[in-house]
This record gives sequence, C-alpha cells and structure tokens, in this order.
Amino acid sequence: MTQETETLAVKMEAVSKWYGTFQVLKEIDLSVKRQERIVVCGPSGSGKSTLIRCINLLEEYQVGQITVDGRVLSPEIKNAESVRQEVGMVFQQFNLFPHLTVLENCTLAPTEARGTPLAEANETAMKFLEKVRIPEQSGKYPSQLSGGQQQRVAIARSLCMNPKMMLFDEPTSALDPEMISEVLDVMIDLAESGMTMICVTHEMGFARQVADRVIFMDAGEIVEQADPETFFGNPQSTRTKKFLGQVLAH
Amino acid sequence: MDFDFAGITPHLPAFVQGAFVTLGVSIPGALLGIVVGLVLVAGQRAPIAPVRWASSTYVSFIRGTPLLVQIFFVYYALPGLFGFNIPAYFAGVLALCLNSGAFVTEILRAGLSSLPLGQWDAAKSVGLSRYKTWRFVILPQLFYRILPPLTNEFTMVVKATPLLSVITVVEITRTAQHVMNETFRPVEAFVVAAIFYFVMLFSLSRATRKLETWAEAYRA
Amino acid sequence: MSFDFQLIYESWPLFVKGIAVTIFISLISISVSFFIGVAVALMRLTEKRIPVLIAVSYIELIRNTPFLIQVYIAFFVLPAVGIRMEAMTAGIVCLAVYGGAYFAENIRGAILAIPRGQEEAAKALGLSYWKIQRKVIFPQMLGYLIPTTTNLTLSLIKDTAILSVITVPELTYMAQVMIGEAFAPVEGFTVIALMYWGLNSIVAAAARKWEYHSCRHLRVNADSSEKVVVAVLPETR
Repeated sequence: MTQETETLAVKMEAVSKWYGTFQVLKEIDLSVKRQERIVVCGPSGSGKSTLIRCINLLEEYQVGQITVDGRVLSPEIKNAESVRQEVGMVFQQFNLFPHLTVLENCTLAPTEARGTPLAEANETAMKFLEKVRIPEQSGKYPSQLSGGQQQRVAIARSLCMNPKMMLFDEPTSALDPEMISEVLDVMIDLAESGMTMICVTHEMGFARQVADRVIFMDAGEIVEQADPETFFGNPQSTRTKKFLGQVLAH
Repeated sequence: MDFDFAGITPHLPAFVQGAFVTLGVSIPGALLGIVVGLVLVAGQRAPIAPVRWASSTYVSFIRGTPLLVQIFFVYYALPGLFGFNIPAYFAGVLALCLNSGAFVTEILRAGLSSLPLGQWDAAKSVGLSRYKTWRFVILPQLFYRILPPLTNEFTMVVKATPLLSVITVVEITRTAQHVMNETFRPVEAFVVAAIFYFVMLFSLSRATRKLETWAEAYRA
Repeated sequence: MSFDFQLIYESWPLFVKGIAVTIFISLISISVSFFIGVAVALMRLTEKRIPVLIAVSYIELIRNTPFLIQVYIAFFVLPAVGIRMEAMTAGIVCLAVYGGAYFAENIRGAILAIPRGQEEAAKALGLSYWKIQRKVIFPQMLGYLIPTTTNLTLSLIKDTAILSVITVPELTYMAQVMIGEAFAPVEGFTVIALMYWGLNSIVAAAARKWEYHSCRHLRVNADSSEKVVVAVLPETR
C-alpha cells in the first residue's frame, strides 16, 4: 500500500470489461480521493452504471485493477461481503425489501452481516432515518411510502452500515418530478457532511452545487473530467458539448 | 425385461378408436361444463341469497372432492337415488361437465373482475344500454381473457378422462387394459396409451400458450 | 329415497382407517414432492444445457400424461425390472414423482417473481449468500408460494383417490369395500365425499391462516399497484 493509495477511496487502473464480445468499459483510469464528491454523467449505454457497480463487486471485470479503500479487488470476487459492507449503494429502483418495515430494512444488514445487537441497530437506524427526515415512517412497509420516501429510506439503509463511501446509481431517475428535490436535498446534506460519494445522475443542478469533479463517459470511456465550473462553462471535447447541449436544453 | 412393442402395432387401430372416444367425452364434457359454469356464475351473483349460497356450496363441494368419487357417484349412486340406470358414456360426460363447470366458474369470475372498471364507466358515458354494453364492450373483451384459461381447462378435462375407464367407458386407458389382457404385455400397452395422451396434452398445452400470447394483444 | 345411517355407523371404522391412510400418503408424498420440486426448479434455472434438459423433460413428461396412466405404468413396470413394492409404497412414490413436476413449476415461478434488484440490494449491503436467501428472498417467495402450493396440495390429496385402483387401502378403496358388501353406493360415496370435502376445507383454512401471518406486507395496501394475490386455478384435478 503506497502513500498514494492510502488516501485514495477508489483507484481504477486500465479497467476493461466485456459482455461477451461487447466491450462496455475501455481501459478506465480513475482515482477518487477520500471525501471527494464525483458525479458521472453520459448517454445511456456509456457504461457509467457498470463502472460504479464494479466498485462494489456487483459486476466482475476482466482486465485491470480496482483498489477500494486500500484493498485490491481481485477479478474473481473473493470475500465480496467485507468490501460491500464498506461501500454503500443506492439504486434507481430503490430495491427496498417489501416484506420488512422501514426500520427492519435498516437493521437487517447490521444485525445479520455484522452481528450488531438489535437495540444498537435500532438506535442507529432511527438516527439515520431522522437524517433523511422520515423517522415517523419507521413502522410502515415500503409499499405504503411514496417513491421519494422509499429512496430516502434506501439511503438511510445504506448509511446504517457506516460505509466509507456511497455509490448512487441514478437515484432520482425513477422518481416523479415533485419528489426529486427531497432526495437531492438528502444527498446534498450527505455530501456536506464529508461522505465520499460517486453519483451517476442526470441532475446537473446537483452536480454544479455539490460535485468536486464531474466525469463524462461515452461508449465505455472517460471522455472528460473537470471541476463543475470548467466542465459546464468550458467543455473541451465535442462529445461533451453535444451531450451538455442535449441535457441542458430543457 | 423384454419389451415387444412390435406386438402392439396390430392393436393401434383400437387405440385410435379409444382416442376418438376420449375426445368424444372430453369435448361435450367441456362444452357443457362452460354452460354449467355460466349458470353457477349467474347463481353466485343472484339477488336471492339461497341461490347464491347453493352456487357457492356446489362449487366448494366439487372442488373439495376427488373427481373419481364424483364419477362413481354419478354412475353408481345416482341410479340408486333416482331409480334409473345411466349408460357409462353419459355418466362420464355428466360427471365431467358437472366437475368442469365448477372450475369454469372461477375462470369466468376472474375474467370479469380483470376487466378494468373504467370500461363500464366509459360505456355508460357514451350512452350505451346495459345490454349493448355487454354485447359490444364487455363480452368481446371477456372473450380474449377467458379463452386461454378455458383451453387449459379443456386440457384438464382430457387429462381426467382416464378415470372414466373405471366405469367401463372404452377410451384410451380402457383400451390399453383390453390390449394388456389380450397380449399379456401391460407395459407396452400403457406406454402406447401414455404416448397418445402425451401427444394430445402436449399439443393442447402448446396451443394454450400460443393463445395466451395472441390474446395479450387484445387486452387493455 | 332412504339414507341408511345405521350402515354408515357400522362401517365407520373402515372409513376412519381409509382416511388415516389418505392423510398418511398425502403427508409423505407431498413433502417428498416439495423437495423434488425444489431440486428440479433449481436445475431448471441453472442455464446449463444438461440439467435444464433433464428438468424440462421430467416436467413436460409428467405434466402431459394423466396420473392414472403413470400409476399403471409404475404398477407394471416396476416388477418387470425387479423392484417389488407394496401397493402403498408404490402409490406414495407415484404421487411424489407426479407432484414433484408441479411443485417444480410453482417454485420456479416463485423464484422468478422476485425482482433481481432484491438480491443486488442485499448483496450491496454485504449480506452473505445464505443470509440473502433466508432473510430476503425466501420470505418474499412465501407470498407467491402459499396460495399456489396450497392449491397443489389440495389437488394431490384428491389424487390419492386414484390410488384405489391399485388397491391402496385409502378412503375411496374402503368405500368400494363397504359398497361391495352392502350394496349401498349412495351412502358410501356420499360419506367419503363429505370426508374429503372436510379434510380439504381444514387444509385450506390452515393455509389461509398461514398466509395471513406471513404476508402482512401484502395486505397493508389494499389498493397497492403491486398485486401479488395469485388467481387460484388448480394444476391437477
């Protein structure tokens, strides 16, 4: 472990991935520092979801090396659970466990994967539910909540494992417009509290406000990355300009 | 373990005849079963409470008792109750349709409740009478919804016909028993019977699946 | 039209023995079928050619031939290959093999009904494979499994009657014994029909209770867009 990797949350070196014959990630090089907030954007099929799913080993990759929190992820995915416990993920479809209450959703992993005593897990859960501003829903089932509420529960659920970083895979894409801001507000709070975050999203307002770095991906490659001012104000590549033109048009 | 399938081939015409008998009980049984089902669905929604109760009890009874027992009842017990004998064929068809009807009820009921309530509202709001609503809006849509499950029900009726062999209806299974008695080769006889059934039932289940995809296109 | 209650009273021990055998056979063969069903469903889902082929062949073969034919074939084939079994054992084996094919489809349906995202979310939280299956996947499967499996169980209980043709001493066979001696088909068949009806009603009620307790999450939103209540059409007669 070099000095450099000790301060890096994630380091991806020449990572490539194929689905059969289709190459979905092309020699990705990426370094994410601790407490850095990254937004990844790009057209559909650019590989941005696949990128972050490699970080918590939901996807395998064939070539290259990914180091998460100082640990090298082997391509064969050994000991995946311990890595995943340190990396939280929020999904586009929320994926809350429908047969458990909100509180139980949050306490399942701490009690079952870490052996935390239930009382402690409940306390932690209520603390995070308050942070995402829905402590009063703790006894309800996911089907009784709105989309925005469900996604906030999903965020709290991941936070209950006290991860070192949080990955967001298009967290607001499945939400009705009026609920997007309640989720983004929670994510902004989280960013300001110093959490390392990598977000795949189309919400450019969020990127401008919160991101330290914006990354544009297209066709499996990182085309451009810069701080928000530079990225939005002075994009270099034609592909980036074209994408921004489409996304910011409305 | 020596099997002699060649020895069975002279008996194939008998099996074919048995297959015709199988269809000869299944088709009337299933069709009449639909009639019975319609009556029961109407009964379940009747304004008179005893009629509703009778329909529901009948359905519960049929679904809660083995078909074999129902067949025995129709063939052996009904004559005892009413004093006349029913030929085996008619007893078979009767038992099948009384049985199938109870299951058809559920198909019809499920089909009706799967229709979006908005259809009734829309028909009312363009001024269609109750009769016209049924004829032009409800029944056509109902048709597409109930056709696949009804085909499946027909498959179930065909699958149930071997039980009629115990009341001497000479369908495929009974034929197999006759062939077995003549050739002393039970395994070959029943395997041939199984093949006949397999071909029929497999084709029917394929047809049902095709119907499901076809009917999907006409659903809301 | 007179109903001979005295006769029923005298034959009662016969019926009790019969239904005891029915229950016994049902319990064993349905339990075994369930495990066969799980194994075959998992084989079917592996996506490897040979297990899938075996699973599909088994399922299609069993489901597309009538149970009585399977019973007859077993009854005659088994001795021919040297396996001698008592009628009851043969009956249990036949029913288990028959039920297994239907359970396999039920279970496969239940597994496929769970969205992939559930497994992913559980993985992302760092839960181990077995914990995921036990705490996340299986409880959700119950909502689908309980109605379909109950349906299948009720059908299989009724199918035990078919075993009477190979002289398994279950309830229908006992009725035939009684009727053979007393020439009272009306009384005989009526009584056993009521007994089957009663047995099935008890099983159905128990299943409803079980569903009520395990599937609270499906009841909380009566108008939820996620309708999981399965239309209850039986697989077998």
